[in-house]
Amino acid sequence: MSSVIVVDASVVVEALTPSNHTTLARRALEEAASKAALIAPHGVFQAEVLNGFRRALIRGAVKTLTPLLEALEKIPIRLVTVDKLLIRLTAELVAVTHHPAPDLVYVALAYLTHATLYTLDSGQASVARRVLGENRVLLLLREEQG
Amino acid sequence: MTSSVVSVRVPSWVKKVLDEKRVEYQGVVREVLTGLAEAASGEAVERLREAFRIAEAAWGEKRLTTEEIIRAIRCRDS
Repeated sequence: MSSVIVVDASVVVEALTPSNHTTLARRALEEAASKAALIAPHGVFQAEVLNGFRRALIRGAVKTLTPLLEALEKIPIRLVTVDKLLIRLTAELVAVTHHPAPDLVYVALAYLTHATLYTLDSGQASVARRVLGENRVLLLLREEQG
Repeated sequence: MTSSVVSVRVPSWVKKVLDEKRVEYQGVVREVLTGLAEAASGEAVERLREAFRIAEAAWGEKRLTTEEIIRAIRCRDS
């Protein structure tokens, strides 16, 4: 495993909200946090996590956002500035793959930092494997769909 | 077995920039070092567990799974 792990928002959302994947996401984060530096792209990460919290609120899985925001501040993920280089590489990946840009910011960050990407998004994982290689992408399998 | 994965060609300018180290990713290096120190000290895992505990205050009532609902209906009808 790489000493740097880029964590997609999907993993944090599942870890902090009740779902069939909560245990899996928590276990993966705990294991990762004991061995590696966890990073994510500043701004993109928070927006995507909030969107995940919104979905949990709508489906009634959570009743309020305040504790989730407090929990999010505790999560030991270092937020990395989305700079020109990261945006340029993301744009190149968008042009080649036509995949949504927010997902590709994570992929570009993993590329630039020689990191492994952790995600629960199979579409993002598929594109990431094409860019980073099979060994640098960990798709936390959704074993129990629901 | 052959892989069906078609790799994406990363632009040559990215490789050039990285290889020549003309762009120092200093901001990231600082964050990574801090993250590694937190991992090594056990602080990162502690913070995670605290975050998980705090988040649970937002959770609503436990929602039944489909299997639990079916089981409950079977018990009621038997």
